[in-house]
Amino acid sequence: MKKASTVFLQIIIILIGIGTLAFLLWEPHVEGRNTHATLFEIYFSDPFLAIAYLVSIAFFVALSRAFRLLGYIGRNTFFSRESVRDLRTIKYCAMILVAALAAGQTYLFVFQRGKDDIAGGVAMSTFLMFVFSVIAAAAAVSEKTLRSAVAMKSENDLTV
Amino acid sequence: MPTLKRATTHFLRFAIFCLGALVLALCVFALPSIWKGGSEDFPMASKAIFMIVVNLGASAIPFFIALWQALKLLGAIDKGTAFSEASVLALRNIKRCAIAIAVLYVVNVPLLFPIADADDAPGLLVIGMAIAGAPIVVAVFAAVLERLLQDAIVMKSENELTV
Repeated sequence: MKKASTVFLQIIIILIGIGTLAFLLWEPHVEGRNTHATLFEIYFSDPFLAIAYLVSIAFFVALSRAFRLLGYIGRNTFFSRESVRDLRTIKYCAMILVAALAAGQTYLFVFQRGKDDIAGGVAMSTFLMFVFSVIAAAAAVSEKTLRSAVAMKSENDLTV
Repeated sequence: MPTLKRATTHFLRFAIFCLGALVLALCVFALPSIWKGGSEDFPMASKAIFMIVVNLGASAIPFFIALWQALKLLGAIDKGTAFSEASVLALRNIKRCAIAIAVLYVVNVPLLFPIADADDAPGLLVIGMAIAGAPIVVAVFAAVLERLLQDAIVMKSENELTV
């Protein structure tokens, strides 16, 4: 039962990963600036896009860590130092994403405001910043809780 | 360090209140206009739209219960009593609420059929199923956490017996 649930959640994570990757690759095609661009120009002439792809690595790292955590749960080795480390990585990844979104928003406000309609970009990045900061906080709280559980377990293993 | 821990749990509390306020606003403002606009655009499906709106409103109740249980969990974490039967119960209630929401959303999918038919948009059913999938994921996740927490409590009680 436990194994089935963790495998189900792992499948969901893979689906989220594929969906995000597909969205990231597809989205530049509908940008107004790319109306007459060739396939090469779409992906390799926009520095903003390059930065966005670079930052998205943090998202995929966090997903892979979540996938690994579910693996630990399925194998009954969740209460371990590895899990604490993976949760910490997820926390840092979420923080990187929040910082990057904040930087992107600053760029919109400072350089694009007035020249272009920035409302959509600001709204989406504010929403995503909220989501990722909640993930960062949740990961931080679970990391601390898990750490105390691991400490308990190692005491256990010593005494028995 | 305790102050930092407080700060993160306070932030999560704030997030829970934001979600609650958002859903409350949707119930008060969005649902009536879905009912009004939907039955004007698709008069042949107005019965189905009414039932969908009622269903969505009903799903807000387990949602608020789940938020309240999440607040209780955060309180337990702050007090250092996260590994307790009360936390297991809170997670179990969250799981039950998520299942209740999933059932209500699954019931909505066949109700979408008359609208999809009237609008000639079969994709609506796929969207309905995807939305029904989200609470199922939450339910499974809560179930996994519940099991983990139970394991941790067993560990803790062994600890207290040996020491």
